[in-house]
Amino acid sequence: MENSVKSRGWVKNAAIIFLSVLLVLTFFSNTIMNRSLPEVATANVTSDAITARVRGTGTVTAQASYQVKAPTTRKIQSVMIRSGQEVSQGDVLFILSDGDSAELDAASETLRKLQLSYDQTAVSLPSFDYTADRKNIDRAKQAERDAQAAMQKALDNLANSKEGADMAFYESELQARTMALNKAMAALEETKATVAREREAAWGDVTELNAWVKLLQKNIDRKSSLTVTKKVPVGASTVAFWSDTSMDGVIHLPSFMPAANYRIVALADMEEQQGEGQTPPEQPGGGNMLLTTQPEGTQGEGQNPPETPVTEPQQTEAPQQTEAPQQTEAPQQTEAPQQTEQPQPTTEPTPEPTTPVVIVVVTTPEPTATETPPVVTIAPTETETPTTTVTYIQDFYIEDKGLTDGEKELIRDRLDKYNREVFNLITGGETEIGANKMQALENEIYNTRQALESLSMTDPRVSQAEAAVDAAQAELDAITNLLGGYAADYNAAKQAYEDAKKTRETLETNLNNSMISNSKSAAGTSLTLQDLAYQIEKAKKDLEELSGGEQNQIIAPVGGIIDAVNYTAGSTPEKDQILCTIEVPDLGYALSFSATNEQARRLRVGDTATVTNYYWGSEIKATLESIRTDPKNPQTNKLLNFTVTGDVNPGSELTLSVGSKSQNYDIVVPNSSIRTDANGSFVLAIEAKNSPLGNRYYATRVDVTVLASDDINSAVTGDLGFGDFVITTSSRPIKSGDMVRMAN
Amino acid sequence: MRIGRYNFTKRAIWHCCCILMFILALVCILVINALAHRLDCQRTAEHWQGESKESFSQISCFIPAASSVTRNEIYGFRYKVLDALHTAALDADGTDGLWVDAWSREGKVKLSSSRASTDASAVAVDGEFFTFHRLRLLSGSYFRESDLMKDKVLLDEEIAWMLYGGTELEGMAIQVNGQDFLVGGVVEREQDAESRRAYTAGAGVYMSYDAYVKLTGDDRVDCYELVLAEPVKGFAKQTAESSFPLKGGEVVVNTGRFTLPRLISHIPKLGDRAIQSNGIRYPYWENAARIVEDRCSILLIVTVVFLLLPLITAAVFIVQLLRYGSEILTESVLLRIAEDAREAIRVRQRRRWEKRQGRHDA
Repeated sequence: MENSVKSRGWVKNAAIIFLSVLLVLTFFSNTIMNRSLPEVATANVTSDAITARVRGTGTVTAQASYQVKAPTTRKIQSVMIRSGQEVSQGDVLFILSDGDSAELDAASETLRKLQLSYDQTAVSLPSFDYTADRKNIDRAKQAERDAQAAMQKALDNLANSKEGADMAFYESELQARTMALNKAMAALEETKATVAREREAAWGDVTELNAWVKLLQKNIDRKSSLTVTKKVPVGASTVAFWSDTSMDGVIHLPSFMPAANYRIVALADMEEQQGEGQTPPEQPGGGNMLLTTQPEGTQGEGQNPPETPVTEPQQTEAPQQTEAPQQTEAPQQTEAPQQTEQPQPTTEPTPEPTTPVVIVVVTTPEPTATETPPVVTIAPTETETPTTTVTYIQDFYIEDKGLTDGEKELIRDRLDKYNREVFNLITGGETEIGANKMQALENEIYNTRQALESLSMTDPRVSQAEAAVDAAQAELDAITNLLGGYAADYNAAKQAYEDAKKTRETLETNLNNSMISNSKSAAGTSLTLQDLAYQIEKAKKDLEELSGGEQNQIIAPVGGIIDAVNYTAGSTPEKDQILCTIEVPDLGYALSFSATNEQARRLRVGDTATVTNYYWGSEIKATLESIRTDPKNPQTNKLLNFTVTGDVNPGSELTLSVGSKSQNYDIVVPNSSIRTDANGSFVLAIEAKNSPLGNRYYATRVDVTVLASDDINSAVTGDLGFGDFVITTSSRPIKSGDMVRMAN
Repeated sequence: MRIGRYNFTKRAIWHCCCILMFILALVCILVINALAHRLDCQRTAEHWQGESKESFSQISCFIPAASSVTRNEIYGFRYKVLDALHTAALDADGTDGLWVDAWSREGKVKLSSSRASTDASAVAVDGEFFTFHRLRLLSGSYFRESDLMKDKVLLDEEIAWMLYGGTELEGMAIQVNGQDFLVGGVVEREQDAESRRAYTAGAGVYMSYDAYVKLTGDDRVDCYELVLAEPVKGFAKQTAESSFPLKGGEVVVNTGRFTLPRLISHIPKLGDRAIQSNGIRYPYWENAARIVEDRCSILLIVTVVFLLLPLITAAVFIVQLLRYGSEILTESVLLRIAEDAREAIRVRQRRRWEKRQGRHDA
């Protein structure tokens, strides 16, 4: 029984304690829960303006400043001003020490040198005397007048001697004859010149001869190649040259080629050969070749070449000298032969050649050809082919050179001999070719050259021109003789008059030229003197300025505030050095600072700035005057220039805050309330719910879009209304849906 | 009888020890969990994710003091991040919200107000620094990268008290190294023990990196932080390691830093933490995280030790049960159950019989 009583007491006590605790917890549940919740600070959603402001710091400077410079290089005795001091116009800024300055000495020396230079120039100014020249002119005029009188007198005499004569006619005749004579003399000179030019051209042919000699020399050196020439087709014995005439269209074989033994098998035009190649074709055997053989055809043996007096050139008057003219030019056949001539040994007249020399190959007649006419028609047979072509020489400029027949013959004979030698060489007629033979050839050329040189200017054109001159002279003499001795006197007097007149004109021209030249020289000297005089005047002024008044003081040219004093007492600034700078406040003050391009874009010229670090004194007003590119950071920054008015001093550092025109927004929240996560910007708004124990506050996420921001607030759009509470900060991190505790 | 009592006491003590150690192990686990959630700056990816379905990862890059990573290199890395997002085809709806970054540098400045002046440590920050470090605002607001003016500073409580004697300082003028700035607000520093222990710089100020570079000319970033969408595991870390100009620095993945696998893998490195040869000067929030990391690792070891005895005891008990369980079951438990069942049936049958015979008490 006792045990049961004890048990009920324990249960009762436990129940009392439990209920008591429950009661306490019930009463303080709100407080306890609030203690466990994160505390948040909130702000109201408002409607306000958002003004983005740009701040910057700059130094106030005066819009205008005046630099006081040292007038001379003089020592500063004392400085009467200090930086920041306000001065008025005329106030003494510096006191200079006594004594001449270096500039003064230099100016004096400069003036002295200038004056000396002026005097020297003035002394050396030239004087011009034209008296002698004018006298000479007067004398020349007098001589002219005398000559004119003499001429008139001679004319009178002439008129008197030939009474009734038409003097005008005589005059004109005399003049015409004289002109005719002059014309004939000019024609003679021209003819001589023409002949000379043609003669020069003839020397070109001699050059060609020399080329042949050179070519022959090569063949001499290649005797083996000469043996090749023996392999000409059957019956081939020689080549020849002839002249084709347009007259009869026949080929005349040279005299040393028996016509009965040859016939023409092919033709070759020299011009074509020239066009195809400038040098003879190369032989298969290696020769440089006058001959080109063709493998086809029969080989003839034992054909003797025509008789050739090989030693004949040596027997002529060829000199033994070895300095026969050697031409170095290659045998380029740059000119087609102008003329051809058949070297006829007979006395028959040679047909006038009109076409170029044509070199052909002739062969011995076929066995079936019993006869070959001495004169054959140019008609190459189709069945036969040429076996050999030869480039050969021609001679035949002679026809047009106005030579006499004897001269032509001389040349022709020489060349004929020469050609024979060539012929023999080519055909192998002479297998033994020695130096003497070559010498003979060169002698031939030499002789030819001598013959050409010895040709006198007996060209008939020259003779004809000389005859014309003689005739004109004779006609002039006839007229002169007709007038007699008075005419000669008249002519002499007239010539004397002309000479005197020319002399007078020459003297006058010389005098004029001299006067012009002298006047230019005088003008230059005068200008030099003027310049020197100007420099002297300037040097005098400088000297006066440097020494003038003995000003030992430098006074303020304008009123203002001393910005900087650059020299102290005892120093010696050089001339034009800046002693101090005076800020002139009359034009106001300026301030500038750099801002980023983004910041500058928000501003407009004319925006008013407020000073944020200057709380004392009267109001200071700053207005944005201009926005320019910052030279230090032209890519990223702009320089904002302000005009500053009010109670401000230069050198003060002001911090300005300038903002563009503000704009009102319906929903404005503090910047601290805006949060961002992966889903964008949002604010945590406070949502209140009633409960039996009081209000409960929950943080609710509201997504927003930030429209604009300034330093404190941001304008947003979202599901917010005026007066809503948004959380700005909290004691612990919170998220949407969390219960929170309001700070107040 | 004495032997039986002794055995009973010994077994009771043993069982109590096991229970106590198990409880201690549970407490350790709870502490680890609390520590893991203590540092808010290590959970930026979680905050940034919000209600998004995209997963994010937080990366920190620490640059050695001898190296210099400038703003331009950071800007270059931003382009590479955009390229990486484009390559991963995540930018179909734009890149807003897919990533956020911030960088900072610590230094010293001289602060002056109309009342006083003092030297202070400065943290120059740029990007969305205060998204990573959500310091409690006592007044004012944070400054952001998009702000028009870069002349706002955030004071901590200590410097605010020293210079102004209060905390409601928003909009007030302050001079930093002689240049005019504006107080953007006052913040309260982290109150957790680890952060307070790691932060040794004294009174400090947060200011814009641009303004700091203008003041000092020192354009060298110490720390770069990034939260990046992670379509596949390791995407953010790989992007940072391959593209960020580390210059001998270190990349740390902050997300999941205090999870069990990371803590287990950290245990072997506990001793190596004392050796630091990379020349990196870690910011205080990283040092705080390392303190937490070490503490969690040690607690994990202690937890394992505490769990050792209860687990062994439980294992022994289970083996005994397995060994003797069938015998007891058949001889004791099942037999008793059968007897009880039979007795119950007999009583029930008797009641029915008595009821039919009218002998029921009712």
